[in-house]
Amino acid sequence: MSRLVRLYPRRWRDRYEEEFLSLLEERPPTMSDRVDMIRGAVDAHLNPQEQAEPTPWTYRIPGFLALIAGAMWSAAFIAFVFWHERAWGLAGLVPISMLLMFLSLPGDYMAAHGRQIAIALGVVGLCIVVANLPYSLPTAIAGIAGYLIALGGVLTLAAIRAEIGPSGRWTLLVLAVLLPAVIGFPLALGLGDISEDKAWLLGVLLPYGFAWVFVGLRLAIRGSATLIDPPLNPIEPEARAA
Amino acid sequence: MGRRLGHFGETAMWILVALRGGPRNVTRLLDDVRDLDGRVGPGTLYGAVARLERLALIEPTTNGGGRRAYRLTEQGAAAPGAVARGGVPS
Repeated sequence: MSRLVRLYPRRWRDRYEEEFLSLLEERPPTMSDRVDMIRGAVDAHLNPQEQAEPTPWTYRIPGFLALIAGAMWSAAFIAFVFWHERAWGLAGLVPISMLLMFLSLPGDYMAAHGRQIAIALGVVGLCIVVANLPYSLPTAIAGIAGYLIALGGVLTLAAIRAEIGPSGRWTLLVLAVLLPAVIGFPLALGLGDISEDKAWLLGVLLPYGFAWVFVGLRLAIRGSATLIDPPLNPIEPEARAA
Repeated sequence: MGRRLGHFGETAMWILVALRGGPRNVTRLLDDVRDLDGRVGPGTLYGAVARLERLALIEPTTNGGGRRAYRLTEQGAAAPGAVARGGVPS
């Protein structure tokens, strides 16, 4: 039963979990009660309990930017693999989606993590420079490593902003960046001329797009201040009681 | 305060009515609301409780056994009629 309660947001559980579990112990839920609890959990995510007013629509913008970025990234690579000859035009979606990923980060977040964002941007720039150096194994390894650090770093920053906990963040990173890279790059090197076979792109880069879709959805649901918004002003329990 | 209770309005109204009889823990509150409103699930009950608490119409207290219970605030005591009309008193 506690599994269903874990569907509720952490802050909600901090507030109600103990009494909720007591209630379920005293009144064991029927199947329709379980469905009702799932609906209640969705509602608790959409309407955070500590907020006095509904989340302004502008707070959904960072989440939608991240969502669009993930969808564009995924669409570009799917198109590239399945309609290779005609999909070069879609390659332009990749830098646009990366730009949207960065744009989804500023806001209230910029003040606290501006330095990390600047470092991630710097690493991306460095990757572009390294990628354009004459080919050699060290530059290739440095370029790939820097690229992975930048991709993982930006995704992690977005996950922190979406209030995904440390274990969830690591899971996301492993599934979206590290694991595909570990599997994909040796595969690509083994294939030699990777331009003949883009199938590995699906395995390596598509999970990253899906991870952004997931983070974007979460960010859109939770809401997050943009540059133009004042911070959310939660009602303190003490103030409410007074 | 014009915030509406959405589809939790009816359950919220029955909670306010039930709490007129005095503070209730959630188990008793669920029983009372089910007596008044038929089948109400725990998810709906807590959705309504959270909104009523947010709107300061009810507040937590402790009952004799040291267990958390809920009671009406002054504003909440006057609220069932307004809630039934789809809003809350200002």
